[in-house]
Amino acid sequence: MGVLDERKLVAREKRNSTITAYYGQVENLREDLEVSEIRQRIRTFSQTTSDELIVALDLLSTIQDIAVVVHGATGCSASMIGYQFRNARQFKKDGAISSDRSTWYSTNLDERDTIMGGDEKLRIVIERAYNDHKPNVIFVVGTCVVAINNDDMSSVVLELQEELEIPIIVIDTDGFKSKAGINGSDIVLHGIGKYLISQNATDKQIRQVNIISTTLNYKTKKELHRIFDKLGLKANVIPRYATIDEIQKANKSIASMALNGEEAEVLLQGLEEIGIPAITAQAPIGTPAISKWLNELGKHLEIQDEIEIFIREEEKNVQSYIASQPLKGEKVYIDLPASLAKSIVELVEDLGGEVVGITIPFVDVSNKESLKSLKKEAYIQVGDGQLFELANIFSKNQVTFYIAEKAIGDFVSKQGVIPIPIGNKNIFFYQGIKTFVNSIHRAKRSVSYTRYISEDAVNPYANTWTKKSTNWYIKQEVK
Amino acid sequence: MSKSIERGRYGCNLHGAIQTITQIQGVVPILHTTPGCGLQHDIAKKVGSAFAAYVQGYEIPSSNVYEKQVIFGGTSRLREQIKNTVKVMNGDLYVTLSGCESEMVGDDSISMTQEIVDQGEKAINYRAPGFKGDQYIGYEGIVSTLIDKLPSVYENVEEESSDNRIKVNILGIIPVQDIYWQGNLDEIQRVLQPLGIKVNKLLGYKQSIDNWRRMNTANLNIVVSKWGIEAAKKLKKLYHTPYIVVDNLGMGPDAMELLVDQIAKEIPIKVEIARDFFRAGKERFRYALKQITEYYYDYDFQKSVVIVGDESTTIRYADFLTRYLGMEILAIIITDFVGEETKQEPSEYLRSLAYDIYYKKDTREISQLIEEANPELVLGSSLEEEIARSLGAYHYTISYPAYNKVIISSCNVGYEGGIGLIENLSSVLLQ
Repeated sequence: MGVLDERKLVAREKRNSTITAYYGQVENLREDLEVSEIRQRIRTFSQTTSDELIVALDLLSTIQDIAVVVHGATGCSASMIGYQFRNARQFKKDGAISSDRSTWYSTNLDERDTIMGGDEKLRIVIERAYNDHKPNVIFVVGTCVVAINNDDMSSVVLELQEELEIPIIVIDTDGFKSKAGINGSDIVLHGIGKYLISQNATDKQIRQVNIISTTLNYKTKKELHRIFDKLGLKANVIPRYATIDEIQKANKSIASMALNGEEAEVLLQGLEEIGIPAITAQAPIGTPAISKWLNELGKHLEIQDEIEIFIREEEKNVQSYIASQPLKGEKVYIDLPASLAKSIVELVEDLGGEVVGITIPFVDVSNKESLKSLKKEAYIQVGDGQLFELANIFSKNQVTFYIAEKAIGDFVSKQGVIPIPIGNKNIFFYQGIKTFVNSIHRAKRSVSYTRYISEDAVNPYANTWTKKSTNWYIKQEVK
Repeated sequence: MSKSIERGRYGCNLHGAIQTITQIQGVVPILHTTPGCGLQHDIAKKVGSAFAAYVQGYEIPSSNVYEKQVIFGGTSRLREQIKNTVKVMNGDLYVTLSGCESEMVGDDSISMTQEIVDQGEKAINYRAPGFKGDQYIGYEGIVSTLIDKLPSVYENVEEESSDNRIKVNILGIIPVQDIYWQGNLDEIQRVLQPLGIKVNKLLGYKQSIDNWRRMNTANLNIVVSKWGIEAAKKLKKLYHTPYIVVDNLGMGPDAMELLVDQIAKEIPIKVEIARDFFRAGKERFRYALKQITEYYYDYDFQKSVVIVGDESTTIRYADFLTRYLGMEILAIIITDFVGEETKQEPSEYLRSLAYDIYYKKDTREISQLIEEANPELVLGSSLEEEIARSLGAYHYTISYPAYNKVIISSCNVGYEGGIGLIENLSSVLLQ
């Protein structure tokens, strides 16, 4: 059975043998991923981390002209207040789109609803969203409260689906089914693939390629369009910062690709099942990886010659950036999803830096290739957040720069390490190399700020903890 | 039945507790929730002027309960988490916060917290399921819990005999929800100091558990929003401390004089010793007001206004704008309340400040009310910016969420708050 045929997507742990807790050498982790039944690990001390719900909301907040109904207590949609700010800023600053009619609702479940059920409330909110906004799609997002209560979101939606003329998609995020937050965007991709994209791949546009991303920012989208325009191709970038129309057009593309394979997997696979081949390549960060990515695309579309000329031309523009070796002699720590980490490690080394450690939020069978390129004796932490372990690592290793997607500058600078957050920058493709090098220069100019902040910083971590081994609180799960 | 909310400005009970205790130096929260609960708050708080804390965001300990604990119960996971938190993170006080999931499943967070207390650790618990209310309820709940339970793990601080100053606690300022919370606490301190009053801010810069252990020594509790009343009542019952509820912790000299008068009714303060301070404050305020005089007349500053936000905040602005700038308050829309919006009863004082008083939580409905009122100026959160723009009205951010704003020392109370408002609002009206 195909991935989109399933009514509900199986949790990532069961699909991909995902692990979210590990600290040790890359070599051992690689061996672990080879066995048929993976040794699942847990933390006996943990810090707050992303869950399915928050990752799903992050992605849904960027899709245009939709309504998102969060079926839970008011706090379950609190992050939307922040996401709206981020998106509005991107729209304004980068001119992403002129208007977005998207909105979000909370069913605002109270104590009574946790006992009596909130089905009726859900029905009212969906009708309200439809009548007030006529959105293109309504996404109904589940939370732990409705999951424990066993509220049947699907029946409510099924009934309303007949009355209202737009798709209503249930996003079954409980917040506790999977330990990997990425399962939330997997569920969104599954919903999109199953209910929005026609299963008939007809009327193909031979120059149109789907670029699937759940995390890209608008600057990256712009760079993608620049490259595709130059090559005379059309990039259909979905679903982040996309319209429903763009998502629906996915079945007309000649192929699909991802920037970061592990996050796009569900939709890549789903589209492949309806006859749109997936082109796989390493994340296009740094010139060797960019060439590989573009060459794979070229091979598939049979435009190798054009691609070759394009690469030669573009590489000229970034040569001086790489030659400047801005990271020469610097010790760098990388905290990124495995597929991005692999490319960033290569780029950091190209720029003269030394990678002294890596953190990845999760690891699973989709990362086997990425792990192969890392030094087998290198130490790797698997965990999203879990800054207590990072504090432990930083206390034992000399680190100058910390490269990550998330903004945890407060924590990192307290350790005397200079953060280089890349979440709101474009680091992909050629423009990305320039941006990345500029970020390093900015980071170098942050030395005095960081020193000032860290001088009298009060770290909450006990000295006895930082002396312990980093994996002290990671145990194998007892079944 | 609670109403659904479109584009809400609300977190939950748990979030209110987190945003309050993380503003006490040395306090370590331990969440017993699903993994994302702490992060939801972290993302939301950044648009509420709470940026740095002893423990925050990804650093907050959390049991991160998963399916197994939902099915079989998460009590033993919590025990493990509490025990290990104490080993990993230094804290003067650990606070277990149990969220929706654990409260529905019925995990025993009380006994688990008691276990480490029995071992000599300083810990308390607060049941914080999100379905029991928003962050205002969380503030109210955690403050009451601290008052109730702190004495069981820490002895109250005895009054220092050498310090003859009058001591007051400030209750009702909620970090994040009051986007000016830091500056406001500082300004209250600055204004009351010349009267020989020592202000216990309880939250923010240099505030620790010691400040909370000293609450019992106060001569008076000053309640500046309805969310501090329960705590004041509790302190009265426990320590016989009188309290005053300040209707308008206002901006400008008149409000400050009223505040001092109200305090003087309860405790013996010699207002005359601070006469010079208040005179200087009034003069400085008038001097500031004079600077905008030409603009005031030339650019028609006497605008019609709709104000959206917490009750105490909206009162502050309504009073100031009518009193000093001759603005016309068309409507006040209050966003912090419990229960049904139609059953709220505004006080006489509140009614005297505007033509219409509404209670609303839904951003779309708020926008519709603004549209009907059709004001020239909208004072509210960033969520009201769009409707203001579409009406061609000016917009000035006074309440949560506040996008594109970093507020550290600015305030919207006292003399400084008044001057700051004159400065900032004029800049908006000249655009």
